[in-house]
Amino acid sequence: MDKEIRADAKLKNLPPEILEDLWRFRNPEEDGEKLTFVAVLAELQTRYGIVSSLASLSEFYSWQRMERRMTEARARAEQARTLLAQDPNATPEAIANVGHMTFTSEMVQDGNVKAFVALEKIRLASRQLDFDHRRLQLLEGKAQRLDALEAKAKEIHQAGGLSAETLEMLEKQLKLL
Amino acid sequence: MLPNNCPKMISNPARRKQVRRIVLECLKMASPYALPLETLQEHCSDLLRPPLNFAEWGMTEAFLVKGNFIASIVSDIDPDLKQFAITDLGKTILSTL
Repeated sequence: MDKEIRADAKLKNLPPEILEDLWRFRNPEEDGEKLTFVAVLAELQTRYGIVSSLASLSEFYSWQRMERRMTEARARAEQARTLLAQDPNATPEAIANVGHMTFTSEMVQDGNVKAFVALEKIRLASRQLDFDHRRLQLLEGKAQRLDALEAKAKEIHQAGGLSAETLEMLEKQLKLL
Repeated sequence: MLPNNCPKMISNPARRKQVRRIVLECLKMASPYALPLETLQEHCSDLLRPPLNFAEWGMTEAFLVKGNFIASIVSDIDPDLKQFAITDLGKTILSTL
């Protein structure tokens, strides 16, 4: 036995052209006239021979509004991913993240794709800055050890020779360099 | 924030099934991305008459997460932002609801 199709599912599964017409009935172009639910029901029956109810139509329009909003959000997320992918410094992880961030922002409130791409670029730059900072610290440490060695060498030169202890210390320091 | 009322609805199997279906439908629309908790609850309330309530949500979330039909995801931007995404199993079960 075939499973009975729910009244609202009947509307959701209509062809895309009819879905677009239904959307336009309630969200007309600039000069268009917005139809009431009763008028939409009548249009459905005369144009496409579909019989529905006010409750089903109301639920369908809530669903359609949400569906369109999510489709737009997904498209913006994809756009953000494409934009960030053009940046040579962008990692696959960062590209995936910007997609998620854009989608989340779109769903939470009306987001701005460019701002998110800019934000992700700042995050990338910040990571590079951290990396440069660590490299600078290493170089500074190396320079300090070299200065200490120079001072020790001068001291030894003035004292007139190398003891076994000093030689060991020098070897250790040179291994660190 | 969901209203904390109507505990009787939980014992209505038709309503319980309807809530599960609506939650999965919303997440399927967002797939492959995740939806923040509050946005998901708002969307579900828009599609349900009467709107979703706190107790119903708690029960539905527990059922869907335990059955691995939806997954809870931690946001990179804000670790406190609770998000949900539909799993492959969730998409399969949705077609049977």
